[in-house]
Order: sequence, then C-alpha cells, then structure tokens
Amino acid sequence: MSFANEARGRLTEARNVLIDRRRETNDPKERAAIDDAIRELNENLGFVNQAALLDAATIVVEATKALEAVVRSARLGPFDLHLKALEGTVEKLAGLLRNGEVGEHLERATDPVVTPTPTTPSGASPVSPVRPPTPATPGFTTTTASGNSPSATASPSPAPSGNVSPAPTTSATATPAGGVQTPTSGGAGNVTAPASTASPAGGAGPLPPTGTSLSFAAVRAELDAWFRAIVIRDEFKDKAKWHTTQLLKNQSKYRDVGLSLNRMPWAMVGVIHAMECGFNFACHLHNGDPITSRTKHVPAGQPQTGAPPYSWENSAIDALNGAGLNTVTDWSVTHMLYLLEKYNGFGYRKMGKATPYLWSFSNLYEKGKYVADGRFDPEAVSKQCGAGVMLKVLLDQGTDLSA
Amino acid sequence: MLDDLALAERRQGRENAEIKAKKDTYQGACKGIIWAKVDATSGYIEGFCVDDAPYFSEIGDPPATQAFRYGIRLIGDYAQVLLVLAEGRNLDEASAQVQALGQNIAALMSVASGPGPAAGLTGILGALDPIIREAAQRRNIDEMKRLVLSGAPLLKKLIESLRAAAPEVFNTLIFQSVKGVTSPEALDSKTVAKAHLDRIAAYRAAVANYVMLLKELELSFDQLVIAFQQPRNAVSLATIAERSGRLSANAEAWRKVYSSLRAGGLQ
Repeated sequence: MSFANEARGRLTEARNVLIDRRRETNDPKERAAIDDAIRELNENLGFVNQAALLDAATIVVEATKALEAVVRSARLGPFDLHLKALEGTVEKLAGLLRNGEVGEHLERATDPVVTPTPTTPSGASPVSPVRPPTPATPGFTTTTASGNSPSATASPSPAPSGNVSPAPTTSATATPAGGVQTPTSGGAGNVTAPASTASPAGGAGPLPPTGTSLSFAAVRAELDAWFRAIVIRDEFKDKAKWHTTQLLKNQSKYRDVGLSLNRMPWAMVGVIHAMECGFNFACHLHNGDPITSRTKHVPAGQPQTGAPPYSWENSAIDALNGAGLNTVTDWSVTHMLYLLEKYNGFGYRKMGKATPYLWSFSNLYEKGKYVADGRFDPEAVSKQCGAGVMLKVLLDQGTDLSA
Repeated sequence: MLDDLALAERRQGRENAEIKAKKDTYQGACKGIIWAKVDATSGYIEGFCVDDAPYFSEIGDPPATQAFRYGIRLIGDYAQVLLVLAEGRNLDEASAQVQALGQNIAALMSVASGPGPAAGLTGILGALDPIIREAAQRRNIDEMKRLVLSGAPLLKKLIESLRAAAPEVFNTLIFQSVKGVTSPEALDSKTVAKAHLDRIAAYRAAVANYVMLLKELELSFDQLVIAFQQPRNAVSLATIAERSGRLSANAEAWRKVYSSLRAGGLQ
C-alpha cells in the first residue's frame, strides 16, 4: 500500500469515528467541535491528495520523456537514410551528362600539373609555349553578324601537327589591324562589345600569343583580338546556338542574381552557370557541386554560411561575391573574358595555352584541358561550349548582355 | 476528464495554499507567508508563493494535469507517426531534401533534352522518380518497424504510469464531493449527501473507463509488436483490426457518456 493510500485510510477511519459520534450526540457544542475536526481531517486529506497526484505525475513525466525521444527520432522524411545513395545516383547521372556534349563542367585550372601522356604527333612537348594561331584554318564559318569577321571559305585541312592549342584561325582572320581596339569601360551593368570587328587592315596576320602575364592590362589586347577572331566550328554551331537559347530562356533568373550583385550583367551570371553547372539549377556556381550540400571540390566547403540545401540563387550570389565580381564596374566584353578566365583559373595561361573555358567550340581551341583539380591532360578535348563563344553568339544575335 | 481534473487540481491547490497560510506552515522560499484576516470569515494570503502560481493561474493546466495531458497526447503523436508512415502520407509531404533531389532531376532532364547523345538519358532520369518513391515506401515500413519495436516498451511504461496515476486522479476529482458529503449540511440531509455521492459514483465510473481504455490501448500495441515480430501473421493483423475497432468504439462511447455527465453538472 502506498503512503498516500495508507494516510488517506487512517484519515478516513478517523473521520468515520467522528461521523458516528456526531450521529449519536445531540450536544450542539460537541457537534460543532466534530464538524471542525472533520474539516481539519479533510484539509489534511487535501494535502495528501495533492502530494500523491504530483508524485504520480512525476512518474508519468519520466515515462513520457523516454517515449518522447523515440517519437522525436521518427524519420518521416523518406530520404533520410537513402539520401546519400540517391544523391550518388543523381551525381552519377550528372557525370554521364557531363561526359556527353552539353553538361560538361571544366575543372579548375589552378596549379598546372601535366598528366603524362604520349607525345604529340610531331613530338612537340605538350607544355611548350603555344604557337600563336595562324590565320588560315579551313572548315570554319563565322557567326558574326557584321560579316566582317573571318569567313571560312578555304578548303579544309588538318590542324597543324604538334599544335596543342589554340587551333588555327581562318584565312580571313579577325586579327585587328595593328593591334586591337581597347574596349572602353562600360560602367556597372553595361556591357560594351569590342568597338570594332572589322578585319585587320593589311589582311591576315597572326593573333597575339597567349601571354603568361595575369594582369588585365597585359592581356587586354590579346583577349580583344582573340574574341574578334572567334569562328565557331561548323560541327558545333548547333550546339553553340542551343547554349545561347538556354541562356536566354533563363535570362530573368540570371538578371535577378546580377541585380543583387551591383548590377552584374545577366549574361555574365548565365555564362558562368552554363560553364560550371551545364544549366543545372541544382548545382553550386562555385564549381558545379550539388546544392544539397556544401561544395566538396575546389573551392570546397562553400557556401560557408547558411545550411544546405541551398537555393540556387543564394548559392550563386555567394559564389560570385566570393569571386569578388560584385565589386566590378568594368563590364566590357574583354574584361568579362578576363574575369571568366580568372574564375576558372589561370592554369592554361600559365602554360601559355588557350583556355577552353573561353574558346572551346571555336577555331581558337583544339585540345588540352584540366581533367581534375590541378591536373592537365594535353590530349583531352573539352566538349563544352566556351564562355567567349557563347558571348560572341549572343552579341552577334544583337542580344543586350547588360544587367 | 482532464479538463475536470484541471479544475479540481487547481481548486485543491488554491485551498491548500490558503490552509498553509492560515496555519503558517509554508516552507522553503514561501516560509513566512501567512493569512491576512479581513474579518472572521474572509481574508487573503499575505505574499505570493511562486510554487503556487500554477494553481492560481488561468493560463494552461496545473502541473499534474499538464503531465497527464502531455503523456496522453504523446501516445497520440506516436500513433500518428505510425499512421503517417503506414499510409505513406509523408511521401506526398515532400521534405526539403526530396524537393532538392527533384529539382536536381528536373534540371538534369532539362539538360538532357539538349542536343547530343545525352538526350537519350531522359528516359533513365524519368524512370528515377518511381524508384525514389518505392525506396521511400520501403523506408517507411522499415522506420515503422523500428519505431514500434523500440517504442513499444516505452509506450507500455507510459500507459502503465498513466494507469497507476488513476487513483490519484480519482481522489482529486472527487475531493470536493468528499468534502461536500462530510459537511454538516450533508451529514444532516440525505438529499444533500446523495448529490455528492452520485457525483463520486460517476467519477468512479469515468476513471474506471479511462483505465480500461488504457488497458485496451496497451493490448493493441502489444498486437502491433507481435505483427512486426512475426510478419505475415494474419491472426495478429486481424486481432489488431478488431481491437482497434473496439477501442475506437469504446472511446467514443465513453466520451459521449462523460459529456452527458458533465452536462448534468458533474463538477
């Protein structure tokens, strides 16, 4: 018997005796005294009841805590346990796409480490400084609207042996006369195309080589000349067009992100999205890793703030902020090219090679790419449309690239 | 019943506070709080004992009722979780993770519908969705089994503790009637006494029904555990169905009887 029950029993026994006595007596004073005594007993009973109820409640609370832990552990999210496996599946599928022709993501071109591969047909070292493109490449046609850019009318011929990159340009090259026209600064959000796409006076001439200097001032003329020399390879024209169609389709999304970043041109956001994510809105702009978690590849652990899964917009803003692009005010195309190359890494430039990040699908690139973070394979060929090529097609269509 | 218990517990707490003040028996932080007389029959507690606050507050339940109510609600939550898993309702209530994955798939499909051989992957990607759902359903069954097997002993303990508390619930519920039936008025009048005695009898029946329903609930969960321990046991499943049906019917009947008792002035 519990203490409460026993106490209650004794109190009730005492009360029963008092009630019996009350029934027997007619003395009002005694009855009043008995009534007081019964009230007193009941008061004690009230204390016993309260204490016993709280004790019982304490035991219930203890039992509740134990079951609560189980209920709280209930995994109603159907993917809690399988998420990793499913993510792996999706990533593998993404990998398949990247190995295809549309969704490739170029690895960071950071520290150049060359993968040992067979020598090139001519025996030239794959890392030897690249030969400036010569102005006679067959099989290419220009997409420029002006018609002043080089047109590929010459008969096809193989690329020069031993030429790693870039590939030769067309016979009617876009090499500027006596150098390049320096684009003017467009100010925040305004994109200025190179001032002229006219063919160089005096006909064909070599493009400036890929310089190893990393400052914009040093490479501005080179980038400007190369951009104007872009000729899309015939076999890639449809694919380049598809890329710009995707860019235009997602234009409003890119514009929203650009507006959050000091009026960055939408085309800049879009082209980086194409390059890093293959237009997949479930991936980080930092490097193409899925937004369901922080980045695992270089740069790893991004975004550092917030918790996954991230929205594409937030991740994109974090990536572009992190790259310092929110402080840029010069949005000339030439500067955009420089920034894009920098975004991917100057690894190609340090080796004197043309970067596929800008020039793939065009006459300015043939082969050689980073196949993993910091690992360069001179024989690998990018299957991704270069950022410069996309910008070129957009401009040739008369698209406004501004914010 | 818990609403009645809340009223009774609160009233008991208030009366005990007055008695402690009148007898100057407060202890601890409340020691020294006494009854201030206004006249021979009225007065007030001079001071404020924080420990008594739940009994004087009109917000929420007093402590014991709160514990019982939460314990019973937790049993409901537990059953609800199992029900959601069993009916697969969580599959439609997609989590953020599912949405992120779905977004991934959609984006991949969009990319795959571009030019080139990757377009052939569209079919593979489209087939992924039912695979995900199937995996999720399997996952639900696994999770339900885990919850039942790990939670059942704890649930039994909780039900037992609630059942063990029934006498104290009963004593608290009837306390005003006990005082009433032992008051001079009732001791001198059988009619007055009868009203109190009827109320005590009604509460006894109500608490007894509550105890029996808890017992039924416990047995139903026992059957559920057996069903998971011995899959494809048709007898267990039939028993669960029968017990669940009976439990629901009994609970509903009790609720109706109790409502009518309350409407008749139970408290």
